[in-house]
Amino acid sequence: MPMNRNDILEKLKEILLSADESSRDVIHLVNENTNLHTGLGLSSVNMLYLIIATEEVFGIYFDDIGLNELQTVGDVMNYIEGKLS
Amino acid sequence: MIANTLEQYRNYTGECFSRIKSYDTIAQMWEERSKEYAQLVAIEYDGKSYTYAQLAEDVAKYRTVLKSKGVSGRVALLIPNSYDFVKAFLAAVTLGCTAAVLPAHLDEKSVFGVCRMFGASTLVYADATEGATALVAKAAPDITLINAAETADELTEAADCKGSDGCTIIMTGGTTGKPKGALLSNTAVMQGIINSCLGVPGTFEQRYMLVLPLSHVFGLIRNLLASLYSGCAMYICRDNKNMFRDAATFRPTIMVLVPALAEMALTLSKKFGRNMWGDSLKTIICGAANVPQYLIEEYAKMGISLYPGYGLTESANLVSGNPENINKPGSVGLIFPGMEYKIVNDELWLKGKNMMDGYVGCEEPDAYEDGWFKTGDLVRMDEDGFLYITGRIKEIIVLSTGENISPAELEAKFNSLNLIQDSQVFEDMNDSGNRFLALEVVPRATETAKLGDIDVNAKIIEELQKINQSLPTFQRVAKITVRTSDFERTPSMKIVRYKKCQ
Repeated sequence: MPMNRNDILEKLKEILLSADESSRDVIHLVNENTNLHTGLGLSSVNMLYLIIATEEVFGIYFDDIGLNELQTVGDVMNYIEGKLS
Repeated sequence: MIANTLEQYRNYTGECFSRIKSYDTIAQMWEERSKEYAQLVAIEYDGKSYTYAQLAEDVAKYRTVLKSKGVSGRVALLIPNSYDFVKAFLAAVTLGCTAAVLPAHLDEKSVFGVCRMFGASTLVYADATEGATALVAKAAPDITLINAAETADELTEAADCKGSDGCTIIMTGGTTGKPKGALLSNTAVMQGIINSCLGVPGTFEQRYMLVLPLSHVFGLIRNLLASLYSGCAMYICRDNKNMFRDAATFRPTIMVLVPALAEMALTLSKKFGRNMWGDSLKTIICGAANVPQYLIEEYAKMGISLYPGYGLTESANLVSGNPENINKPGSVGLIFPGMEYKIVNDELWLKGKNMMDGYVGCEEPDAYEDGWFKTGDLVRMDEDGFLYITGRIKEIIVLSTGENISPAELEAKFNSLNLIQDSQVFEDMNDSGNRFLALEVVPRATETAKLGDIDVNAKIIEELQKINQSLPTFQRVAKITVRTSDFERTPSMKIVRYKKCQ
C-alpha cells in the first residue's frame, strides 16, 4: 500500500528523533512548513544526516538535488513522494 | 619550553617511526616518494584509479601547462575536491610557486578580492567554478586564467625550490576574525606532514577517504599530503551525501574528520544497527573543533581508534596529537617533538618549523610577541605533558563542522545597511540543544523613521535576509531579532558579547 504524506511526515519525525531524542517536544510539532534551518536549527552536517537516513528508511537516492534546495520539511516530503511515485 | 616528546611518539608510532623522514621541500618529497610508491594507487576519483607514477606524470605535464603560460609567484586554486586539484596543487608547488587554495564555494566578488589580497598572478579553475572567475577575467587582465583540466604532451621537471620558499596560502580568520591568508613555507608544510604521521601506528600504505575540503588545512595537509607522503591510496568523495556508499566500495582504513561528521556517522550507525563506515575502518583522525570524549569511547566500542588533536592553520595543521587519549579525557594530546611553546597568562604561544611566515592580506601586529605566535587559545598542561584547551581569547565561533565564523566579518556586512545601527552575530541554541548562528540588530532610528507607515521590523528583516542569503550557506544566520534597545556595552562602549553556548 503506497505511503501517504502523513506516513512520510511521521517517518521523517522518527528520523529526526533518532538523531536528537532530547528534541522530542520540538519534533512533535514539526509540520510541512517547518523550516529545516531556522525551525529545527539543522547545520550542513545535520542535513547530511537527514538525507542519508531518509535514503536508508525510504530506499531512495537524493541523486538529483542539492542540499540547498531543501528548505522546509515539506520540500523533503515532496522529494520523497516524487521518488516513491 | 621545547616539547621533548620524541621517545613517546616513537613508542606510539611503532615500526613506522623509522620510515618518517623529513625533506626540505614538497618538491623533494614528491620526487622521492612518487618513485618509491610508483605502482601503488595514489588517488581514486570519479571511477578511476591513478597510481603514483600516473599522478607524477600528470603533475609533470601540468607543470608544462603552467610553465608555457609563464606562471610564477602566487597561484590561486579555485578547484573543488578532485583529481585535478591534486594535480594542479602539486604542479604549482613543485614548480616553485605558492599555491593559494581558495574555498570552491566563493562567489566571483570574493574570488576577485582574494586573488588581489594574495597578489595572485594566476587563477586555476575547474569547469564547476568557471562562473566564479568572471570578475577576475573582466577586471584583472594581469591575472592569467588556466583551466585545471588542461594538459600537455611534454613533461617538465620540478624546479629547484628551497625550504624557505612559500608553499601554500590558506584562508583563515586568524586571531581577529578578519579574512586573510596564512603563508606556509615548504619547511612548515613538511613539518606539518611529519607531525601528521607521528603517533598513528601503521600510518603507511593505508586507505584514506577524503570528505573535508582541500582548501582547509586539515583536508590539505593532514589528509591529502600526509596520504601522499606515506604511500596511501586516497579516495576523493565527489559528494558527501554518498560517503557511506563510497565507503562500502572503497573500504577506507583511515579517515580525517571533523567531530560533527564523526558524530553523524555514529548516530546513523546506531540507528541502523551497523557500522556505516564498514568494518575496514580502524582509525579516525579528528580535529578542527572540540572533540567530545564520548566519541572516542563510542568509536572504541566499534573497534575504531579515534585520535583527537589540536592544530591551527597558522601551524600547518597539528600542534599536538593524542596517541592514547583514552586515559586522558578532554586532552588534545602531547605537543609534537621540537615544537617550542610557552603558556603566558594561560594562553598558548608557539614557535617551530611548522609555523607560518605570517599573514597575507591583513596586518596582524598583535599576533606575535617577541617572535612567538600567540594562538588566542587558553590552555593548561597536566603533569604528564598533555595539553587541554580551556577556552578561547579570540571571538571566532568554531561550528561543530569545523568551519570558522568571524562575527566581526559578518556584522560588517549586516551593518552596511543604513537601517542598522549595530549588530551582533553569535551562536545560539534552540530548546532541543541544537546550535545555530543568530543575529541581533539595533535599528538606526533616523532611518527607520523615514519608512513611514509600514511594518518596520518586517522591512528590516527582509533587507537583512537579502544579505544573509548572499552569504555562503555555512555563514548564514538562522534567526534574526530586531532589538528595541541598544546592546549592553563595556565602559569603552564595545558590545558585551553573548556567550550562550559556552
